[in-house]
Amino acid sequence: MPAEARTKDAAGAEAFVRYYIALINRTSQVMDAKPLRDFSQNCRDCMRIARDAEQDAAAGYHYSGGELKITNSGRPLMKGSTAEIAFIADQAALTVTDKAGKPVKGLAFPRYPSLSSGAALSWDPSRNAWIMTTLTLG
Amino acid sequence: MAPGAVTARYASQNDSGAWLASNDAPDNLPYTYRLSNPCIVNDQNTGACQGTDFRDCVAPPGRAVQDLVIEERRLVLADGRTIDNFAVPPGTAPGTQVGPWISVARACIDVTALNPPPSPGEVFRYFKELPLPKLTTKQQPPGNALSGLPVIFFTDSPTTQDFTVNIRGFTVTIAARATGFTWHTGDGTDLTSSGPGAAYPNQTVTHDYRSGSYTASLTTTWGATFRVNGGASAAVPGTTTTDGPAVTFTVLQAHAVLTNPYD
Repeated sequence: MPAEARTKDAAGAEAFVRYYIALINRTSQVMDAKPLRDFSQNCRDCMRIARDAEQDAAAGYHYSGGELKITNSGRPLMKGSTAEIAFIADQAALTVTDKAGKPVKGLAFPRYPSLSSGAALSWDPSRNAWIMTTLTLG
Repeated sequence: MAPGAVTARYASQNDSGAWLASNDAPDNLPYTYRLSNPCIVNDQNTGACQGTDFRDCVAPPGRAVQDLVIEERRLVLADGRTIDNFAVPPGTAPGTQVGPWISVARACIDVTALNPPPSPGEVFRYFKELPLPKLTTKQQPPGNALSGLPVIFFTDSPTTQDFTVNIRGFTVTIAARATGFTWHTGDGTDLTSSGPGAAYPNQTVTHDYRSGSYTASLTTTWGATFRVNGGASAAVPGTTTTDGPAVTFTVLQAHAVLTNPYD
């Protein structure tokens, strides 16, 4: 985690969200969702993304594309040990392929531009870091 | 839309604290709402709901009241801002949902106006009112029994039955099946079995009696699965029981017999 994402302020909160999005993109490349679980708590959509990746990995699938990119964001709302932020994300087109490299039927998704998104974070003093508690994409 | 969630334009509490969801909302509403099953919100491992995850909510007749988690999400208002001046990314149009979903409460929420498909809990309330079969008790030997010779109990009544009910315009088919059998022997003993028993020589439920007159009966436990408008099958989250008619018989002191006593 970059140092700028470990400060308990608005800049740190925004940096953490960008870091978490980078972790999602990394998960898509290496099919390892553990970091998504490590840096989230009771985050329903984080778990859904992790679970989908793990199930697809177990099936021998790979992802091609699907990268998320934050294109714009609002200033985080800080409330004590929590933060909320609104952001706009683009998601690249995604194709899921099987072990043989063939596209899996029903698992091809178009590009989704300008997804109005958001995140809620909670500061974990034991780790001196933010954790994701809510992730909303689109 | 996250799986297991339904949107509602508006959710509010009345003076009594009861929650009501609807799609009729005031103009320039600052939030939109999402209602989710608690197990989907909380489960981090399987993402799947079990029938036991649902709390039963009291519902007046014809109303759909479900145990749900209410979440709200800010909407960009006509002036381009949000209700609490939560920072919106530049250029975001009025009416756009912004930021994360925020948990408000878990409660029994009247969702009748959203006309959602019947929940498992709602189907269970109907299931409990169905005219399920009252299984008859058969005993062997027929007529009088003999002390020292176990009495065999079984039922040959149907142990499955299908029903179709209309719940708020949804066609719900319920497939009921007997899952447990409690045999009241009449001498203070209750026997339980997972099956309906069988006649001699394949008996599975028997009881020894002293001489006397006894009244026996069968209480059947029923479970079920259901489908809404022919969709996927799901378990009804609970069971109910029916009591079968009583049978009275006499157990006589045994004497020497020369023929098959179970005929």
